[in-house]
Amino acid sequence: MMPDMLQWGLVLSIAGPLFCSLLVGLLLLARSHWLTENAVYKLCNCGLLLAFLGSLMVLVAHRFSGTAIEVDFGHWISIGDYEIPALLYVDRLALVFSLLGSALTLLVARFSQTYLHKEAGFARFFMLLGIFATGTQLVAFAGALDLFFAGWEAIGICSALFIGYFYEREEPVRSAVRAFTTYRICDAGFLVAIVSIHELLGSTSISGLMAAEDLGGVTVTLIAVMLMLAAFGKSAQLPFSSWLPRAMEGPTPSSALFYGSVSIHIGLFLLLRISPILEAAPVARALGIVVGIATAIYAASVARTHTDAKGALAHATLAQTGLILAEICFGFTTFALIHLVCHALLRVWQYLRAPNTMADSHEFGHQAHTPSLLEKVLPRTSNWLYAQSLHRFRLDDRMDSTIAPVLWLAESLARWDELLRRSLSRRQDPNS
Amino acid sequence: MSGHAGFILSFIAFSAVLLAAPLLAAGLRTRSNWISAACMLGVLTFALITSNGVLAYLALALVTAIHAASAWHKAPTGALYLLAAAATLVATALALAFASDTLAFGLSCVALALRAGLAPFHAGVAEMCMKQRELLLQQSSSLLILVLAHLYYIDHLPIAYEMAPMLVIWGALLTLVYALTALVQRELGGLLRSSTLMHAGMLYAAVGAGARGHYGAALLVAVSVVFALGGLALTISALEARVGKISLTGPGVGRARAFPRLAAAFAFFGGASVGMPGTAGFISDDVLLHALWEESPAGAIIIIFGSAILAVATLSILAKAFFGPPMRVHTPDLSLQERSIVVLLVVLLLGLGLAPQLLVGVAELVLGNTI
Repeated sequence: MMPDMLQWGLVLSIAGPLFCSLLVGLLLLARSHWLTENAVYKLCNCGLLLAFLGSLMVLVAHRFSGTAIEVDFGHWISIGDYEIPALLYVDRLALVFSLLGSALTLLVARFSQTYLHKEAGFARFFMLLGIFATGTQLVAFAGALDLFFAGWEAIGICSALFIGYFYEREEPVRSAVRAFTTYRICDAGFLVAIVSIHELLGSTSISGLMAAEDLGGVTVTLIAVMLMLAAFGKSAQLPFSSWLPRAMEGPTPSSALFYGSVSIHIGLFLLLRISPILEAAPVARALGIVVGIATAIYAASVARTHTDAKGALAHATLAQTGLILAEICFGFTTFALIHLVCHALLRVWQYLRAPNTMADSHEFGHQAHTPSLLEKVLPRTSNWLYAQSLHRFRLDDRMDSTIAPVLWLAESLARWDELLRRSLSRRQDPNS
Repeated sequence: MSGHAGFILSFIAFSAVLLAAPLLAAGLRTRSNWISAACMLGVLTFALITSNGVLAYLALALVTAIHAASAWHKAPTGALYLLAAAATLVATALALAFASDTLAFGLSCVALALRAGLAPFHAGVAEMCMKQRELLLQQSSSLLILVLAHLYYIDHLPIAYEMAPMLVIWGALLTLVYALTALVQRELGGLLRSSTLMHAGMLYAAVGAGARGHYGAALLVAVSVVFALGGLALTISALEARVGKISLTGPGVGRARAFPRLAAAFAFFGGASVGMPGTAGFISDDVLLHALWEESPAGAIIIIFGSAILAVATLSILAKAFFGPPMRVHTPDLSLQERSIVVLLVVLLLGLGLAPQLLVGVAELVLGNTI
């Protein structure tokens, strides 16, 4: 009975929310007036509930035993000697992340039903929430990196669409494009790593990553760095941190779910998942420690200068994710997982409370500024740090100047292509 | 085609669906093209089921000539290139008849480049992207059969095996070049043009990998490219039919409020063309990259970055074309007829994305067993 329960639980948790979202989408595409706000909520919530119940079923079947279980559903595709296995992997790490993700998504959905009542994009929000839930469950239970990547991409697309939720204003749309650009460029590293792992190890299965230590030092370091690049992008680590404060343009419930609890930690979950590769790559781990600590210092100093609640929260979140990254790279994986879960739970509450900041400050009063140790000991350095933090260390400008040559190249290529096409086109008679 | 009869029958049935979808879509959209669409379907089915390479290439040449005639007035350069492709296909048939492998390979590659829009043979397809989108959609169905014919009759030749790395690198480089040009387009049609030319590079690389035995990957790439770009072409022409040409130079305009279904369809097809998970695009990208890595890791890495850049360009153009202060318009969203085409293409892309083995398994067995 237990294996059946495990399989059904996995299927429900991954396919349930996706099915409900697709159903809502197709019904809206066919006849939009068929679905009321309440019907959209009920259908999508049903999918999210299925995901949560599925996670619970997997938990009951696995019973948090120390062993990892691979559940093979055949293959997604098989061509010649290459195949993407429909392989799911259940262990403690997967269970913790799956339960965390499904429970928080369900909670945020309930909050959003009231918060977004009569908003124009109500149906869009809940459909995206369903796709996000499927992405999260797929990431949590993926038994092969290809499946992991499918869930990872789904989360990235949903994240960008949530940031640009209020698409009638210019700033959210620009922020969404910026976040998506960061994701996609960093995800290129993930893809390179997946393809090379497949070629070197013969498969991309999570259990097969144990063999990574047999690869040469340089190879395994390069693969680890590529995977870290993807994790840095998704978890907004330096130098890719500038999209996170901009992501606060989205509705508060999505900010809570994405940038406070689940999505921001997905990159760290990836690093926990590929820990066998990290263990074999000390140079990459050193890089992770440096980046994590640098991100924590950067974010902590910027958080102190932010005047809006969500912006300050975003940087406070970033500081903690930097620390969790450093913990993972130091090898304290269990501690990092506990830190991750506690941090996610705290932040989701803080983000959902953020719209009440004004009421809270009226009720509890403002905290008077007390000089910090740095202000007392090194006032000049403190002033410099304050000024830099106000401008977020000009990260946006630095990223823009990095992208500028690419845009210049694109312009030149487009001009050359137009000239080439003109010279190869048939001249039209102007009188015809 | 020889081989296991059951597989061949199911392959033909499946291919008929693949063929019919773009033709049906174009026919529904223009209404007047039904008869020519039906004739083309007949000729293409003949090209598919005949076991003779010469006849298959001649049938493809005939269909290409019909496409050229349809394009003559609206897209003269496109028509000229299609005529050149038809002549090249006839020459390929002759080369096959005289068993001149090198010539047949070279000519078939040129015909494929002319039809798919691979630089420097891309001026025709580029013009059709801007002026004749229905034809672009219709010709994509015969492009699918051309890819299949190339895989079946040409890609097993020794010369194809030797030249595969060159095709892969050239295709990969063009993928990156046209993905970059998509970043700086100034009108909505420009995205379709850049995306089509970029995918032509990808298709070429896939055909190159096909010569080393990756038939399924090549076919999957061709099918997903045809459906995703076909959907994108339909959506763009439907939108421009309502609001005129769309410039991307100013701030974004909120057309999504006026045309929510069009916006959703554009986002879906745009996403499918750059490998959105759940669609055929994701699986074809993944399979292609694995196939390419074996032939040329550099080519695979270039395509990965090309695809990432096109994804950024697509979202950025979606934002400019659909997002912004709401626009007041009195034209309706997608009509029932257009919606049915969109739903058909969406279902096909999702179906192939979630169960790609339906196509690939059969294709691998037929192509792999007989070559």
